[in-house]
Amino acid sequence: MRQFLLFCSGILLSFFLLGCFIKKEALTFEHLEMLDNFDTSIRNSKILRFKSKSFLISGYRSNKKNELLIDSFAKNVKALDAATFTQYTVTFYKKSKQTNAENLTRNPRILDRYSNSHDLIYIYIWRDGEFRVREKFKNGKMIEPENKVEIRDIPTSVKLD
Amino acid sequence: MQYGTTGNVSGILSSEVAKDNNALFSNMANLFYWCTIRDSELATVGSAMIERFKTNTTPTTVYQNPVLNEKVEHSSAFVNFLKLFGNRLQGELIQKQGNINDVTEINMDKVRPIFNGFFNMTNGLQILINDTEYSEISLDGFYLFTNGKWEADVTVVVYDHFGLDKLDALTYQNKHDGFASWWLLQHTRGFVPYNTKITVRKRISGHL
Repeated sequence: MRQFLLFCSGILLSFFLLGCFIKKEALTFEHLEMLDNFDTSIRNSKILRFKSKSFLISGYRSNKKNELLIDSFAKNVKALDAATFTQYTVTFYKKSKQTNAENLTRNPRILDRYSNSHDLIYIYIWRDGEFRVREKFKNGKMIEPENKVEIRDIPTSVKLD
Repeated sequence: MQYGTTGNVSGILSSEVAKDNNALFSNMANLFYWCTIRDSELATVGSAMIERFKTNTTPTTVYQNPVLNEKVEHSSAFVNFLKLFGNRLQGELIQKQGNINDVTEINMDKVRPIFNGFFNMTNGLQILINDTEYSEISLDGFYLFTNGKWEADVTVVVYDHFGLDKLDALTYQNKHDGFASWWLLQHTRGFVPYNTKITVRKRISGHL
């Protein structure tokens, strides 16, 4: 019994020490101003306004705590005048050797050719000031929320020429 | 889209700079051959695109090809892009109780169909398109059923430039000298790039 208790204590101590030495990197956010975008279009005589901002995150790991931190950050980023925009988008990328401000400034195509398929993690969307969706991505594919839409061919009877 | 006869050749493979146009086109064709080696239909499209590049006179030319449309339509990059759009449309429809007339334009922002990756490298779409300039999705028809199911028929138009900039030439010319040849033809021999337009019609469906 004593040996068993000693064994358990040893295991607990190991986990404690391991926990002390594992580097817990805090999340840091970096605004990628070069990716900010403002766009307008006109539909039915109404001017539609679109704005987007993008951020890099250092120290990102996928867990609940980070999710809440990013949620909170995104909501703070959302402009006070978000209601005046048809769509307000905030995008987050994981900082990496490829996806960083210096690289993206030197070669903006990295965003399409690498970052969107490797380092894109979240897109938050507000429409007319109301929060609409938080899309979570992995390897360029949306993994949350579950995408239930279906894509298929249009039956030939209704195809336009 | 830049083109002309005065491009700065610094950094471009010196072995290519001295070649005549025929030799450069031959190199470019070899590059396209290897990059479409696993898809004979796109190899044919590639040859047609090179021919258009040889004879094109204005950068506003729009090139379209039904085989290219079909290959894009079935690519995972395109399907993922359209599914993401569909999901955003679904969110809007739920918000507007299924009234499509109340749904305003959905902006895809930085998400675009990109045809790169290992598969596209030798199956043709990377050399023929790669990253795209912009895409438009327009609604052709909308159906809402009593059980909450909706269907939207859409036309997706993807635009690209068939041209090569110097950064890409410098990055890839050591993998295949056809990249250097392509850049030289466009920027020092006056061959004119053009726009590639890809059109796909699909039906998206979901439930409110």
